[in-house]
Amino acid sequence: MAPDRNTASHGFIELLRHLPIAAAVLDRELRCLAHTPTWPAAHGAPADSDLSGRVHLDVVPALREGWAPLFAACLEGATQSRDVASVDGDGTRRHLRWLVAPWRDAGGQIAGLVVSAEDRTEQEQTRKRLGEHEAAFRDLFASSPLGLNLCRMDGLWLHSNEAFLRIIGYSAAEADGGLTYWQLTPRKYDADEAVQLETLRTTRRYGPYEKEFIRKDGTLVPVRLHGFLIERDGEDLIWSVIEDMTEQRALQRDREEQRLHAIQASKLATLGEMAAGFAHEINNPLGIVELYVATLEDSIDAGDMDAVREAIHGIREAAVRAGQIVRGLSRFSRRSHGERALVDTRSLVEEALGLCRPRIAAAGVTVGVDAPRVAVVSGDAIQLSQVLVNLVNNAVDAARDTPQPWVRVRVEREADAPFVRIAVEDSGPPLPAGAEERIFEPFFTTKRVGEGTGLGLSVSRTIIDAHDGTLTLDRSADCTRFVVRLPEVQP
Amino acid sequence: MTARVVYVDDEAMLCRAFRLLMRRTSVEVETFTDPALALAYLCSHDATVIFCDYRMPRMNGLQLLEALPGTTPFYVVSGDLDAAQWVADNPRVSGVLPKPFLADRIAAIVQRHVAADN
Repeated sequence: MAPDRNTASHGFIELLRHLPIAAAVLDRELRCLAHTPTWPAAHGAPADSDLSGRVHLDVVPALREGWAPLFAACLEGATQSRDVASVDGDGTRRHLRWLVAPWRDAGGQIAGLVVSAEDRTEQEQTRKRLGEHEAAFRDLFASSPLGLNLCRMDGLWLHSNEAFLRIIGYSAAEADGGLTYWQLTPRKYDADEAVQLETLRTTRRYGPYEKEFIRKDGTLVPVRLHGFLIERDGEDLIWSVIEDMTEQRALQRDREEQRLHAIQASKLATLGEMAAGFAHEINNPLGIVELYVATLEDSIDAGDMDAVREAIHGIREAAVRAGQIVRGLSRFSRRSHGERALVDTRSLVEEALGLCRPRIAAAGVTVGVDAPRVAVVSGDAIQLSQVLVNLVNNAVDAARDTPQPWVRVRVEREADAPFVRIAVEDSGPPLPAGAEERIFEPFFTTKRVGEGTGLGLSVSRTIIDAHDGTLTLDRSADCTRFVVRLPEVQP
Repeated sequence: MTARVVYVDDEAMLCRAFRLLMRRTSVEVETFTDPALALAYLCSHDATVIFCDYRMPRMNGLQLLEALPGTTPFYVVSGDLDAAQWVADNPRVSGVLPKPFLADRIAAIVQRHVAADN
């Protein structure tokens, strides 16, 4: 049974009373037949007023000029909407979309208008905020000193900022929509690229990833990339931040060069200190040669062939000795670049002690070596030798004025870790308490002015650090003991 | 007494060279690489002239000289130019020779002292 007219009308009026929008039903004279609770406030009338029976354009005379034509058109059958912005009593801007539509009576005749308002304030505010955000983003994008880039999963670049275009040397017209990530990536990064792609797929982010791009002029530019996936219109796109690493690389290279300079300077300083001792060392065999040569002439005159043979033997021995000294010295003086090779620590110790021999003899110090088994490390033999020479020279200098001067060098393989320890111990007085770290600082020295540069230990530590090892003062020993600890390598 | 020359130097090579140098002379030669052994020998044997290296471990040339009985001519052989001056000033030192020494100078000194003894 269809609801009767009274029930329907009554229900309709109840509906109106509960609608959250501002709406009203007007008759052909625009007299209000019924309205929703928020209708009065939308027209600036008190909230709880009842405008039924009132002619709309009388309630809001201000509407007359702007709206009368619209109402007239709708009474003829049109449906129209109009957006209106207003300011509330408390100052908030409100955006309303008014919808005016005719309603027909049971006979199908237009009996009046239904006027309703959609409150679009929130939508307007959101739209405005979005606009502001977009503007802010555009500014950030354009002015960012870091390269920013949006690209498709297939690598096609969609959107690049100034900084990025500068890095790769292309214009926006050339890059966006025209170039792919792959076109500018050198083939040698293929394996790394696969790894990054996989990370991106599984975690939706990638990086930090260091690689190079091929610039428009063909040169390579080192870069560091970070990125993440976003979804836009159902498609995955990649946002990337690109840092130009050219300057960082240059700084790194400079630092490395300076480090090598310092190592070489320290070595030359050490050699300078040892020079007198070396001159003496070489002088001896040369003098011996001179002696033997003098006896040779007499022996030949006297026909004493035994003496001649002995002289020749002596000369050869002396020449070999001189050659060894010179070779050891020139090897030590060579500028090294930290190239790695397998180094036998026992030979290293022997070589270092050989270089220190004049100093040891001049100081009257007894040196003992304790290196029972083969122990191999990976490193630059010249640099490691420089460290040992420094430690032994220091030990000899410390021991020289003690009543029983001795220096001991021990090579040990650690029992429970793959490390080799080279320890240099001496009979000298203990270092002052708290000096453990200070002694490794550059220019710190306990020696008198003119003796030593104070660079030795700090450079030695730099060298050992670069070899993934440690150089420390071992306070647990009952004598002064410096320990070099290096990773062991199986030969 | 036969002329006897004693040479003390921790460098065995130099001892051998010295010995060869003296080969054609009629002088008896004793060389020592250990100054303690040299001291022991010189306490029980005479020598015409002694040549001794200055820098040796455990006992240097002057220490050996201080411990010696008698007034045998004593020449210090030194490669250490710093030490040379104040060693030469020591009244018991007859002379300082640079190291490595020149064969002619050694020969001349030996000849002079051998002649003086006779």
